[in-house]
Amino acid sequence: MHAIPEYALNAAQLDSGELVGALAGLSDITAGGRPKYGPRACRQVAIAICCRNYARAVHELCHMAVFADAASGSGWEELFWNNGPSTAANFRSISEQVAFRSGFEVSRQAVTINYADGRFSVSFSHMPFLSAMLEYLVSVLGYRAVDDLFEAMFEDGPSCASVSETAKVLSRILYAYLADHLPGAQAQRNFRRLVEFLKARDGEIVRIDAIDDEAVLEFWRGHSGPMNDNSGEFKTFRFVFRSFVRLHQALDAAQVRNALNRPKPIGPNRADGEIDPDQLFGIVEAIDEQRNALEALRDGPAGRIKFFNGREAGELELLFDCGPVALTLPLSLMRAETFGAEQTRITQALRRRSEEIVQAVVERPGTVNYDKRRQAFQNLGAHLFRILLASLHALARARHRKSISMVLSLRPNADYRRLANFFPRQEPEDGNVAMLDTDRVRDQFFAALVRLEVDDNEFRDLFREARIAFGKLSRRGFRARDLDDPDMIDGFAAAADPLFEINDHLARFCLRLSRVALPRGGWSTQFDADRAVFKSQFDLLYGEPQ
Amino acid sequence: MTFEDRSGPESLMTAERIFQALSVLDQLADGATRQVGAPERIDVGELYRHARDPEAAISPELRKALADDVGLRADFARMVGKNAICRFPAAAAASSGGVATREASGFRITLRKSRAEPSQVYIIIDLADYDGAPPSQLFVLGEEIRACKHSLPPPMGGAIQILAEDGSDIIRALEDRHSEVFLR
Repeated sequence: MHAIPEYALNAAQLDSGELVGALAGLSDITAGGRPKYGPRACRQVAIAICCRNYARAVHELCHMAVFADAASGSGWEELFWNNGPSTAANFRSISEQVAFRSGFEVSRQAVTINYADGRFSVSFSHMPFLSAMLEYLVSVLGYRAVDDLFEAMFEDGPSCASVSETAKVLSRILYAYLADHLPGAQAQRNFRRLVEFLKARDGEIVRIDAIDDEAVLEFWRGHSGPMNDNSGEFKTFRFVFRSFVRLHQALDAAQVRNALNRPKPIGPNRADGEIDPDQLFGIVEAIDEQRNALEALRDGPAGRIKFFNGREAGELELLFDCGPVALTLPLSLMRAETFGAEQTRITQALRRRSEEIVQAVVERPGTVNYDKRRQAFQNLGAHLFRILLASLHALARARHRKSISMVLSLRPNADYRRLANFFPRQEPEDGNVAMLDTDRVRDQFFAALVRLEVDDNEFRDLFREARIAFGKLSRRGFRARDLDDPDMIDGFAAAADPLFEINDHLARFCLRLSRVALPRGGWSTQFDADRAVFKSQFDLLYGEPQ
Repeated sequence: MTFEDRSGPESLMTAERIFQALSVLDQLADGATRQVGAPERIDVGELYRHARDPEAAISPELRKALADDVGLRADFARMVGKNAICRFPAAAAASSGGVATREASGFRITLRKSRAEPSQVYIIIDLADYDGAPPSQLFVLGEEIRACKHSLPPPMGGAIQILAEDGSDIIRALEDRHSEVFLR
């Protein structure tokens, strides 16, 4: 049984800012000029940490360390820190090049370790997350703490039992560390303040549908002032808005998940009736899924292509952070995108002591009105459609199968029977079933489509639009030479589904904006009314004392 | 139908746990919450590559961190030591003055003043009792000293010789009896 080293526990003297900084720092690490850890891997580490659901990952990581040690011959560190970007493809490629000693099996999907007392597989697709988890453990617990445990595990030849024991000790050290560092108490206070507000407003029973645009604004006006917000957390409208979004998501998930009907404090001791971190992890991961589409465009092969520039990505960020709740709180989201963004400018200006900027914003908030912001969302939708068409051109030209599903999504109501001449009838011979030469049919089909030789206006027009859309874009991935780059084609294929997801959510939100019943009638009159409210509150928060 | 009617009062507690986790996730994932003025995080991978790879470049941030952070220097020494051909531990506490000679595992390091140029010192690494591949790097490390890494020329006549300025970082580090020396 390993004892928890004293120095590892002493690491807990650091404050939570260190823990937060370590996670933020993960995405800053580069390898070969590219981010070493993709956004999804970093996000998965964050979810595992905040749900304290890391025991399984740490266990898997310890097995990966056994594999890493065997792969390099000069220490477990080599695989993690001297092998370029942390991607599944990279780990697979490294594994395929190593002549392992007996006991290791490498397949396309995973490495399997055969111990004397059992076997364990670590999949390549999971290795980027595990690798990011290791980086995080080393940064918060220290290299020495991790290395001591790994070296002890290697010393007498690892077994399933010794790996499990090492993982338990490592998890215990992390648990002790997080006990002092996870900033959970403030979140708990915030939850109670939001719930108390809803109860005071609508009666003693909390209703999800009580969370509406009016409630968000009312809460902010009542709680952002220094007399009502000791922590200062509710000072900004964006924070209040995000808190209500999280409250909505939490109430909804708690209601749906009846399995979580006897919650107790989160912890590893299930025998005492504590919440299983697996359940909490599942819920948080499901809520976080909403962000996946945007992150998928920054990760892996799709990350090579610049689908959105910084401004465009920034304009989508909050909408996707909210997920479906954006449709419930459309006016609040518009307020957060306009006045909320201006309040962020005030906060930044205050940090820089730029009094003039503070004064200018406080005196006349609302430089971007709701109509302009709505137009920006619509412009993004139009851009997204061009991106989809251009992606179709790239994929069809490369005769990639993904372009077939793109055509089906872009033209769902087309009459596909008209393409029958691309599928020649083949008579069965000798009673056998006729097999279609699918590759040949696909090649003929795409060649004709790209050359616009299809005898059908609808499809010819679609591919003409696709070619024009590609030609009009000049960013990375959309240059003529990129059409012949197989890596770029992989990127377009990987991005197709996320792009459609983004398109759907954005289209639903734009539709919601056009149909929402606003308290002041139209968006212009609503903006004028809101400007007066925000100006008054900004005056209170940041104006010159009378 | 209300939330509590449908789900029971305990579901509000469940919602609180979920809200808490989501809020902490926001805090963890939000780079903007990094404390202003907090030190730059060091890339441990860069530290490892600096320890392992003779050609690895070192960023100014890592150089500064190694100069300022005792714990980081200890980690670095550990990484260097893991694959060292030879480790010369810190000199015995009883010895006085600067260290002129160190011996370990068939190696001997001697500092000798140049007769031709008194401001220069020869670092002589004697490999007489070693028949493996010659070391290519010399590391001098210690809690209280500036970490030194020096590429070594090929041996001649069973010894590697380097000429350094007297009082330079590497000579002062080698003379320091608290320093550890590694050959790689």
